[in-house]
Amino acid sequence: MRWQRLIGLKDNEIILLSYIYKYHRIDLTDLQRELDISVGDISLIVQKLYSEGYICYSGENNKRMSISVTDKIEKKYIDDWDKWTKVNVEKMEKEENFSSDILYIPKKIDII
Amino acid sequence: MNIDEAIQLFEQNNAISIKDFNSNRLQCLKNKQFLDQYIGEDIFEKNIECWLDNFKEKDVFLKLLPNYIYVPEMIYGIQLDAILSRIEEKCNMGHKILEETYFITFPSKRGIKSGGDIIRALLPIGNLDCVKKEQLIVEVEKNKDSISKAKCIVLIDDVIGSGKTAKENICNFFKMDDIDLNGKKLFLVAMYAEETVKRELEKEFNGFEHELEVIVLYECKKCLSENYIFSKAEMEVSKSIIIRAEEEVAGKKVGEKKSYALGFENSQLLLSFFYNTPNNTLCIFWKPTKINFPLFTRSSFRRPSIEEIKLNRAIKRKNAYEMAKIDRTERQ
Repeated sequence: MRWQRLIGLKDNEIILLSYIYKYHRIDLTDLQRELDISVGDISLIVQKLYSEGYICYSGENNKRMSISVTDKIEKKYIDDWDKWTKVNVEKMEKEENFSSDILYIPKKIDII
Repeated sequence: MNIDEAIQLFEQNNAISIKDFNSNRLQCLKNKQFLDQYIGEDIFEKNIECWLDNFKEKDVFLKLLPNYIYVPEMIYGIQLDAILSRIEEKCNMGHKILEETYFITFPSKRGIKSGGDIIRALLPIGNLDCVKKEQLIVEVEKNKDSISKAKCIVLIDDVIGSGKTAKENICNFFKMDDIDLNGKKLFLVAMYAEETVKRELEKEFNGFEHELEVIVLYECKKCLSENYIFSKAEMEVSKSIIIRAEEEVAGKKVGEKKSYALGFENSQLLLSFFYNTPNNTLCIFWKPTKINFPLFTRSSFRRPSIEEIKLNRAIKRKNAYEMAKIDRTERQ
């Protein structure tokens, strides 16, 4: 996508950045469910984001819980974790329950 | 002791609160909880009840729970950081030594997911400034050149149960002649190990040509040690009840070849990590059978459901749509 090409980040990297922006930490169990990739791959993305300057530690103590997103990426792309997460599972389930594969034919179709 | 009291002691001894965990992602988001498949507040108490239903002598088995060690992801990470601090101290060269330290995890014999995978994934997260992916090694054979450049080599595992795997891996490592170990600091590190096994390993490695220091973050006791969980008076009866249940679930006698009764090689551990339970733990805690509903099922017994696979697919589709939506908004 154009905007992604412009900022040079892949889907999973953007999703990961929005997670860090919200939680300031990495939770492999949660992210594995979200991204459906291995914990090793998640860790490699985090390492890449750090080496390219997208994330940093905001404190010296308990670094794991104080990861921050730098100014290298505009916040408008990552400030809404809820948009990505399946946290909206409930919503999705409701959508799935609504059957939309039936063709609706109005009774007075020949009048139309 | 009732279930509530046992949970309270379990929380105290593990320095966690069950209320902080949930097995449902939606609830985690709503209530600011951590995701956990074993001890989520929505499932833990019910699972304990079901697990206890496996046994007639509920009191004996419930007494094991307060002494059970459970390591959630956040604590696992903190423990990895504590290990790195210990290595820094031992090397006496400050934080810089970590940049020249190589971490070797033990490969899984069957090539399936192991504790080593989690260590390699979680270890750098709190140490992104000094631990790079090149320093995390699983296959020594393929990385001899880079290991030769190291100032410090750490062979690391989550748990040392019987000590057999650790011994085997260390011996294989020392057999590789083309790695120059002179002047390098060598460590065998584990988060958890049974106390007598640790001493045995230290003795064994004492006679080696290169000095190898054993670091264990937490030493565990065999659960049927005298005056640990059961008093001297209770021991005889409790021990026979537990052994009977273990042999029934394992399908083999204690001490038999490849028997998991009382844990692999009679390790008698009470330990689980957020991603799995080692087979050194009593098998009534991890082996599902017709007569046993375990509390901390081993991951090799679990398979993803069709619903989970479908949901993952839906999630990916929805995210692709959201990404495209940003593109459209940008153009407007």
